[in-house]
Amino acid sequence: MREDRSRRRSTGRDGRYDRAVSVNVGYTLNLVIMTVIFVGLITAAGTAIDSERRGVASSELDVAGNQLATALSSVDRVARVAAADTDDEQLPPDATPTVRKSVRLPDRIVGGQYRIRITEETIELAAVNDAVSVTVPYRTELPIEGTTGGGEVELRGGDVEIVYLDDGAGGDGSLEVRSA
Amino acid sequence: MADVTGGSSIGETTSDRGQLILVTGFAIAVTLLALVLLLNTAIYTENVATRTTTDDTTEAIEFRGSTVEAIAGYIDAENDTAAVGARIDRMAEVTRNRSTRRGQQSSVQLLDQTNGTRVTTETVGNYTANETDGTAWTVVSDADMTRAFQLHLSDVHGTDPQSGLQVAINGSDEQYLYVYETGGDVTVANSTDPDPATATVACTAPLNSSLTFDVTGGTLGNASCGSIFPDVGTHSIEIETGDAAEGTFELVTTGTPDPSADRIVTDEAVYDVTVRLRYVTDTVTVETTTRIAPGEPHA
Repeated sequence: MREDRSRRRSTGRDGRYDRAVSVNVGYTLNLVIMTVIFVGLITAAGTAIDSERRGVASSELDVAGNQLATALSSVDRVARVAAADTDDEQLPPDATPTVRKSVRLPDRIVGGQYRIRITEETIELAAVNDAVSVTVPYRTELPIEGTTGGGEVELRGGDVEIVYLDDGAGGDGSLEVRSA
Repeated sequence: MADVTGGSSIGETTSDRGQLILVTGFAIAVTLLALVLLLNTAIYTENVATRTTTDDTTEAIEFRGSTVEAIAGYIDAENDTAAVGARIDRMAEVTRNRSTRRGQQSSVQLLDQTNGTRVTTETVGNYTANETDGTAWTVVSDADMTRAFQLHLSDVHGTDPQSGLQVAINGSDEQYLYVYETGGDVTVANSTDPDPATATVACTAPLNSSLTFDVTGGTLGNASCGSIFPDVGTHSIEIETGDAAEGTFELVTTGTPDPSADRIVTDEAVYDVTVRLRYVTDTVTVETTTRIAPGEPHA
């Protein structure tokens, strides 16, 4: 009996080793460790999401850019066929062709707006909020209005319309891209 | 020492630790959920991108091509000038109905029709105006446009440009064509000078029973002769040495054929037709005016 009590008293209550241990410090330490782990995990997840977001934005911009490039090529082909028809000398000069195509592009990319910039050989799409930008090359035989001689056409991201402009002089005209 | 623990501290710490793990878990789950939504958008976009839409512009080109081909067929098939217009009207109605059923608005509209004369030789023989004379004669005069000028040669007698069959096209420019045979091959030579010695060879093909020299199309059999029909305004077509070859020929022209030539038969025919084609869908609008004259020389 006496040995039990003395053993209990030296080792403390319930057999724990708690000499020189304050529960407050232990509790605080737990909190701090958990907070650090918590913050670390959330930051890592956030960074992963951010990089995924950039990847998704880049991929969506690439898809939109390629859709626009394909549309430009196909309108270019039809416009040249129609212009060749109306270039016939026997036809009256007011017989001009009409070619118009509307292209449905997404209004927002990953929740944010984006801008389209068309130069002589490339289409550049850039998200407004992120630093994500994609360049897509395209080829047409007819020039795009406003891109000759180093110029560029800038549009808001979203639906666009491609229209053939006949120059009326018997030669090939040009294509105009505008927001729909 | 004073007891500052206050209650079963083991249990409380455990439950506190458990709460923090739970909260962390929830936060990460929400973050992953946002990631899933984000990636879902990406998958959808890429799926839509690979789902290539039927290119409306290709259909527009096909519509134009098949309509032009059909109308060219009508022009060749019908001698009655009013019948071509009627067939085009019927085609316009069918096109309208069919396109409306597909949610489109395609149409064909006949704008203008130019009538001309088809000149043919019914029997195989010399390229002379009559049976007995007329080796040099004017087949057609005052022609603004000529198309589908073909010589179906069955025999060629001449062996050089001087003795070969000579066809002259006289307008603002002149073009002289010489058809002669050397060693089983028919040769076509051309020159802008009336002197046969200046002619240069344009094409050659072996002579067989059905060799066609397409003057406006620029082909001899399967060989290409280039653009040998000159781009002239009002012109006349003459045959200088009609007895140098045998066969038949045909052409469609807006000019006047030789009224005294027994060899040829003339019929009224449609020279060309001008139509306005429209192809309209919800995303594409294509409208063009085209003149259809099958067999016309491509200047």
